[in-house]
Formats: sequence, structure tokens, C-alpha cells
Amino acid sequence: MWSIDHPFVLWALALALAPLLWHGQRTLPHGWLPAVPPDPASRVLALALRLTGALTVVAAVLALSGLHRQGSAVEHVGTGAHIVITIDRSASMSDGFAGRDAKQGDEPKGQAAARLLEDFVRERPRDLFGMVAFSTAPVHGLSLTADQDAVRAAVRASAAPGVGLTNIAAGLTMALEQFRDKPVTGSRVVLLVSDGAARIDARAQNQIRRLFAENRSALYWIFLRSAGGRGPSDPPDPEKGFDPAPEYFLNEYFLDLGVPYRLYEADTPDALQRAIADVSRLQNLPLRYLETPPREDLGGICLAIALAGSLVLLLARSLEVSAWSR
Amino acid sequence: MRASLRHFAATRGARFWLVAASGACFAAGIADPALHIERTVGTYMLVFDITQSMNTQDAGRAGARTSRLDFAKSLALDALDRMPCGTHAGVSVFVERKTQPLLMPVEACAHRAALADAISHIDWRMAWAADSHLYYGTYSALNDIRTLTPGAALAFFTDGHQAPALHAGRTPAWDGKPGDIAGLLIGVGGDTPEPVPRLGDKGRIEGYWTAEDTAGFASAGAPTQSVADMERAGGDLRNAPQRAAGSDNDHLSRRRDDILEDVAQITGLGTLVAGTPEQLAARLRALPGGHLTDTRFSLRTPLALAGLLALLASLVPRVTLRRLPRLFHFRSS
Repeated sequence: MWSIDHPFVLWALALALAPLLWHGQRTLPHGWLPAVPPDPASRVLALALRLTGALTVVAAVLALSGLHRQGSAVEHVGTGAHIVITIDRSASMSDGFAGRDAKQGDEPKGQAAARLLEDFVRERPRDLFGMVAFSTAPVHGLSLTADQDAVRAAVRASAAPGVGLTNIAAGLTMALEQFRDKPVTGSRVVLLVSDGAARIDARAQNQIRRLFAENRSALYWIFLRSAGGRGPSDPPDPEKGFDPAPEYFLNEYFLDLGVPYRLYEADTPDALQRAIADVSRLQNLPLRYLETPPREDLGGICLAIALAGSLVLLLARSLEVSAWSR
Repeated sequence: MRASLRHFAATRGARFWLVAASGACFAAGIADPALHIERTVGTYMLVFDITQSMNTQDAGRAGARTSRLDFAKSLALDALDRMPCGTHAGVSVFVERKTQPLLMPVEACAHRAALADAISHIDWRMAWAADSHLYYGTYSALNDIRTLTPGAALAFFTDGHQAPALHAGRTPAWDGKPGDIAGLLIGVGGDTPEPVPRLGDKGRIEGYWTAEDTAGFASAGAPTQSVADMERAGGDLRNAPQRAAGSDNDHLSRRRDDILEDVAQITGLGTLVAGTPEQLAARLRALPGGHLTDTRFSLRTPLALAGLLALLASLVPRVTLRRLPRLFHFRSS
């Protein structure tokens, strides 16, 4: 497909009329023109020279307008996925992991998650990534995009100390909305990274269930266990009186969603890395993706035509006579 | 041979040489030579105030008023478009006392789509709280830059509206060094107090904040006074509402240049009343800091233009040329 960077420059194409009106050739006075016999070859030559001038002007103007050819995107089939990283940015993400050797001054969960997710993104150059963060409210980071640098910048930004609560329902809803009206050209994944859970009310439960079904997205939940905290696999203990255990019930709810679902519990950065590696392996399904060929600049070709035209004109000028020969 | 060449050159007129020059320009243009210009470009953290006063519809041109936040968003993008490639920009939002970065700085030309995506989705509903402590917010933005993106400059889009208002003399202290981090506080909004809309979930205006609403909010406590102080102030003030003086009209909002100036004074930032993208781009580029980048300035366009002009000049009939001086000839009486 041909296109032009600066269409307004095309107005200068009117200048191509100049060589048709003005021949620019040396004229010599002659005593009596009617005495000169008609010379069709000269007339053809004169016209050809004018047209050459016009062509040269057109070529130069096209070069100025930034003419180029942009191939249409070509579809390839590779392996990969469309992944919306949905990351918890609540205040507790600045705390350390739960693991046995955990001590003060360890890498906060949020920073470890951001670091490992950044590597994850780097290792999957063909995937499309979206980014959603949530604390009390969901925060749109990036729509699904192939711009890896931007995705990594958004992941890095999520390492900053968080604020507020863990509103998982809002985060999931926003993440699933990312798939809306997008063609299903590969497997879809919501990669939920959080260190806590919250009760999701019945209305939100239904909405999220519907969105998962509509968008045919899988769910991976990487749960970062806090020191002293409990995880999704710990059922509530009736002995201890009232125990909401939101993580446990959220896991039960996810199991019941009817979409591919997997839970990873990570209580050390190493465990988190293993979980991410596992997601990476699982998501190597066929993926259709578009690749736009690089733009082909036609300015050089235009200038070559202009050069050829001006050389022809130069030849004509150099053959001009300065006086009538006897 | 030499003599005949010299004769050839001498007998050719200006038109021959003009065509030759145009050919030379085209030939040089094909090779696409370029100048490499070193330019200083900056890295900017664009911080958007997303508190509810930013929803006030008093920004932009008269007749096409938009909310302060929408205005700030499009102003930021337009200004980025007017800055040289190599400029980096990151995106962050402010509510309550803190800023939350959404996107670390990325190059503004190659990643324009991502920047536009992140900026255009900024919404007051991202807020995790409703207060607006601008002093703390600015300190938080500067702190983010110090710890996360050293070397970046701050561009903070805000209306300066503090909610709740501060008591006189209770300005939050800052432990940084003024001017350590360069930046601008960009004031958006109008000069006259306007009601702040209450938006519903779908973004429709459902009403406006009233004086009664704002009077009910928590505020920083007034300084403790002794009985003697209270008597001097005229009566028992113990049960009087603890609101900062002059905050009766807190439900109305205008651009608070005085607050922005005060924050700027403390932190060494500059201030600017939001106007055109050109003005903002120029002010941002004038900030100290930044890094050198090599900008390739292609000479193909100037060469093609020169070739075209030389070619056209070679065509102008001699008659016209001879008449030209007459246009500039003044008859002497």
C-alpha cells in the first residue's frame, strides 16, 4: 500500500505545469520564421523535453512528500498467549514473604513480583500483555499491547509501595474487560498476583463468572503468602470461632468458575519464580499474531527518477547552440 | 582537450549550471546524507491529580469547557508530541497523600501509543481515597523520582485544591533539599470558584458537593489553645468546629495559584498556569537536567527541495528575468 507522510506537499505538483509553459531553452533570433521548413522531429523533441521537465518536477515533489510503501500486516502462527497481568498494589505488598528463612529487610513481595514478572515478559516476545493494578480501586495500566518495553515499564511501576486495600473483584473485572471486542487469536490468561483476598459479593461473583465465560479466559492465581498470614489451601478452623478465611473461599469460587484455573502459592521469591515458569510453560499454545513489515521508503527511487530527468535536460542544454552556424 | 572543456564551460549560461546543480542535488539526495545533532532531552514523570475537584468543568476554551482532568490529560499528550524524540515520559497519579506510578518513563516517540493509552485511561475512579493533601502529594511525587527514576523531572498537573483545608501555619514539612529535583506544578482550572460535581459510577454528574458535605469531613485539628488564649480570642472555642479559617466555601473549587506557589517555594519547583501545549513543552524543555541524545537530521528533504528550486529557476524565461529589475526600480523625479 502506498502512502504519503505530508499530503499537503502534493499541492506543489502544480509546479509540474511550469516546464510545460516555459521550455527554458536558449532561443536565437531568426530573420523570417515562415521560411523555416516544418520539422516534426523537432516538435516531438521539444514536447519530450517539456514532459521530461514535468516528470522531474513530479518526482522531486513526491520525494518531498515522503512517499513510501507500507505493507499490510501479515499473519503468523506461533506460540504464545494474551496475558493480562493483574497485580495487587495494596499496602501489604510492601511486606516480606512468609518463607521459613524470612527476615527483616528482605525484598518486599511487590518488588520481587515486579522483578520476576519483568523477566517473564522479556522471555515471551510474541505475547500480548495488558496490565491492571488494583488496591481499593482498579487502575488501568496498559491495554493489551505488543509493546514489550512499555509493558515492562508498567510492571516496574507496580513495584512502588502500594496503598489501600485488596479489591480483587474490581481488579478482575477490569482485567477481563481488556479482552472485550478483541479477536480471539490466542489463548487468553488473566494472571492474578496478589497477597490477599477479599470476599466477593454475589453480584460481583456472577459478573466475573459471566465475563470469564464470555471472554474464554483462563485464570492463574499466584498467591504471595505473607509472614504469619494464611493461604487459599487452609480451610477455616471451626475451633477458632468466626474465621472468614477469604483466601480459602475465593479459591473455592475460582475452582467453580468453569474455566481453566490454577493456583500457585509462593512464600519465597524462588517459589514465585517456579510458579511463573510453570505459567510460562503452560501458555505455549498456538497463537496467531500480526506482524507489520517495515516501511519501504520510496524517496530514493523518486530522487533517482528526478536525477535521470535532470540529466536528460542537462544533455539537452549542453547540446544547445550559441549561434546559428553557417 | 582542456581548452575545449574550458570553452564549453565558458559558453554555457546560468541555466545550464542551474540544471547541473539540480541534478547534483538529486544525486546527493539519493545517498541520503544526514546531520547528527546532539540535543538534550529530558525524562519527565507526568503526575495527574485525580481527586474529585479535578472533575470540575472549568478548563479549556470558553464554549468548550471540559473537566480539569481531561484538559490536563490532553495537554500532557499534546505537549509530548511537541517535544523531540528521545524524550522519556512516565505516568503517575496522585490522591490523598501519595502518588502511584502507573508507567515508568518510556521513550515518547516509539512508545507514544502506550503513553496515550495509559494517560487516556486515567480516571478519578482510580482513587483509593478522597482527600487531597497536595503538599504530601508533591513530596511523594518527588520521593518517587528520587527512589525510582533518578534524573527525571516532575510535571504535576493539579488544581491546587486542598481538601480538607490546612490551618494557617500547619504546612507539612519537607525533609528534601529545594531544587534537588527539577519540575513544574501545572495549575489547571479557572479563576472563579465553581461547584465540584459528584459523579456516578458511569461518569454522569449526579449532583454537586455542598457546603454541608464538606463541613462533615474530617480535618486536621486546630492548634490547641489554652483557656487564656481562648478568652483572648473571645469566648469558649472548645466546641467550635475545627475548620481552617476561610474554608467555608470548600465545596467550591478554583485554581489555587497561592497554594501552588507555596508548594513551589518549599520544594524549589516552578509553577505554570496551564495554557497551550507549546508553552508547556517549552517550559519542560527549559528545565535543568536531561541527557544528550543523537538526533539524525536527514538532509534528503532540503536537497530535494534545492534541486526542485534550481530546476524551476532554470526554466524561467529570459524575458521575465530581464523585466524583474524593473519591479524594483523607483523612478526619480
